[in-house]
Amino acid sequence: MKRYGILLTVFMAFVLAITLTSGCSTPKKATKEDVTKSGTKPGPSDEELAKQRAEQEARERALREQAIRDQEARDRAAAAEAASLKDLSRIYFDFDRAELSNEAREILGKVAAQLKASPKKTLTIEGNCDDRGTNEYNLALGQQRADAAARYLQTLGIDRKRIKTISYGEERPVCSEATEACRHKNRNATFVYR
Amino acid sequence: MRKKHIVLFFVCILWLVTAAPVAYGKVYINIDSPSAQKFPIAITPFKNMNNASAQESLSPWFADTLGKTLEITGFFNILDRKAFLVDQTKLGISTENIQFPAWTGIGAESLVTGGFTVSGRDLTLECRLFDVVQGKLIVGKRYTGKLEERKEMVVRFAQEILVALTGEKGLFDTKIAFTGKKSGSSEIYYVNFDGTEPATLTNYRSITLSPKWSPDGKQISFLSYKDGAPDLFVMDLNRRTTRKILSTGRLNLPATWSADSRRMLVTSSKDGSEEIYILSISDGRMTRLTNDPSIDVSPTWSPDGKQIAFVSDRGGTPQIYLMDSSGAGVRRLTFEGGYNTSPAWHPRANRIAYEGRAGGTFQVMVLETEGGTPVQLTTNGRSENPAWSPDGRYIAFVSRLGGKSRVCVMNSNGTNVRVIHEGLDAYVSPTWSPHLNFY
Repeated sequence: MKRYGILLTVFMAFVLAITLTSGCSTPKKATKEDVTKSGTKPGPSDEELAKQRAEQEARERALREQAIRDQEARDRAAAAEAASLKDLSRIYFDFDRAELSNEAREILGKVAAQLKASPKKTLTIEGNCDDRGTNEYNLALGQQRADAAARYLQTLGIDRKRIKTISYGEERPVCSEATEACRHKNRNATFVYR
Repeated sequence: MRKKHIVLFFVCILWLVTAAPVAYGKVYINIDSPSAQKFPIAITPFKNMNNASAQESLSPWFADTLGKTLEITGFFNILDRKAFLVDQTKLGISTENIQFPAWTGIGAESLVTGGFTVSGRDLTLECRLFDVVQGKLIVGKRYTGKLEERKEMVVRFAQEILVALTGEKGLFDTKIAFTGKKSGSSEIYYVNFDGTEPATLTNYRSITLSPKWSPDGKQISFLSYKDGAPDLFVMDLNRRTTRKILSTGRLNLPATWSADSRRMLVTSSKDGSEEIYILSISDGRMTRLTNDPSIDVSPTWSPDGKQIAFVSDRGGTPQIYLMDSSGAGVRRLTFEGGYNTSPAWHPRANRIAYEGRAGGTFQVMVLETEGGTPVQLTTNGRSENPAWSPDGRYIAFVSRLGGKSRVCVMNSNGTNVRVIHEGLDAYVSPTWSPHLNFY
């Protein structure tokens, strides 16, 4: 929300500056009246015009510099958010289970906080399994894992409409060695933010 | 598939029509007997009838090809030609020329003789099957066609031999489809029962799984992520057109077709957890059969359509359950091992093949639906996803052994394991076609 506030302030300042320094943004009807009036009233002197131009340029320069600073700040925030989301990209499960571990709940708590901080973001949860067992059953198990994560986020106040779930069963392993460490990595729910 | 039908213009003539009905009444090989021995059969070199010198090599070729074809079935012991006491090509190939005691003397119960006539590219093939114990002709056929159609003629006569000796034709006109994985994507492939003519059915470069052949032989249903979500598709095999039949944005898995190929059992998580439904293919209407927050998956209809076996983890681990086709009367079938999945209902019996955990790995098991002790059919490596042949005499399955995955076929008693496809990274979910009548 804070970011949008800054954006709005900058925008309003910009509009105000333009309104003050130029007649272009006033309505067409007003412009016509000004033209008719200009014959009866003397215009500003050259000195006054030069002063106005200098002030206008200074304001525009300040605005441009502010815009650049804002953009840099936004980029930094986005990078920090991406870095924090990377750590929150996965939760892991026990063999043939879809229950959430304490660690998984903790990560989901942070995921929920991220989603609340970025209300326009949506989340796809991909359920995955290791290669033991049957691939059809594992497709169902992957769906259960993704749904378990989605339900928990819902209890933490995230609108279910922002969460999509998909199961890839054992079809998208992140690791292909026949070790328990590797199988553990493959039994996950992966978070993809959009 | 159909091309051969048109090209091979053949004529069959049944000799000694009066003898045929008597001979056909007897089943020489009881395939379904668990103690069935391999049936000893002698195949003589085929007689070069018009002595076309350029075609001498065809004489052993016909005998060898027929022998190899019969051997694939796992029902025959093809006797070694070196043990033969008489040369029927010299004596003659008709009933009056057969020296039956010379064949019973080496342990044969049946004898095949044959003769061929080549004229230009035209081939006439005569084949006879004898019961050497009773000293009589069982079946005789004559085929005419082109020389390059000789393999098909041999397979056709092998089918005749199987009908005469086992009461039913062989599976040479069936195919097995399966998922093959390669370079991170999976496609549907198929291959003939004898391992010939492998081909691909899909090329989506996505995840495509669980092919199920329709009982009319004309369609295959499958699951594909090709449009992003796990949707169900049906491919028309003649037109090679595909249409989407179920898309819910959540998991959808195809399972067994109904006998009339108009409905399909499916698993879908569209209403929450994974439940089993009957999907009417023409109008997409779905009838929900299960109602349980746990996983319900992989349903298979009994041959009469009155019962369904399926996998559920409602008891804490994946096990096979039975229910009435209405969804009522759920009862657990498997209790041994902590992980039993992939049920396949025998096409003619109240028997289920499935994949069960045995000694730290997974093997193909068979269990009667009234319960009892499961029979473990496989022992090597890991064996998964059993699929019955349309006659219930064979099971196709996926074998993982020594880091390699293969599609295999075995006789229903676990013997005669043959590899029908290998070379891809991994295989899953074989499905067997009905008779497609291309032989």
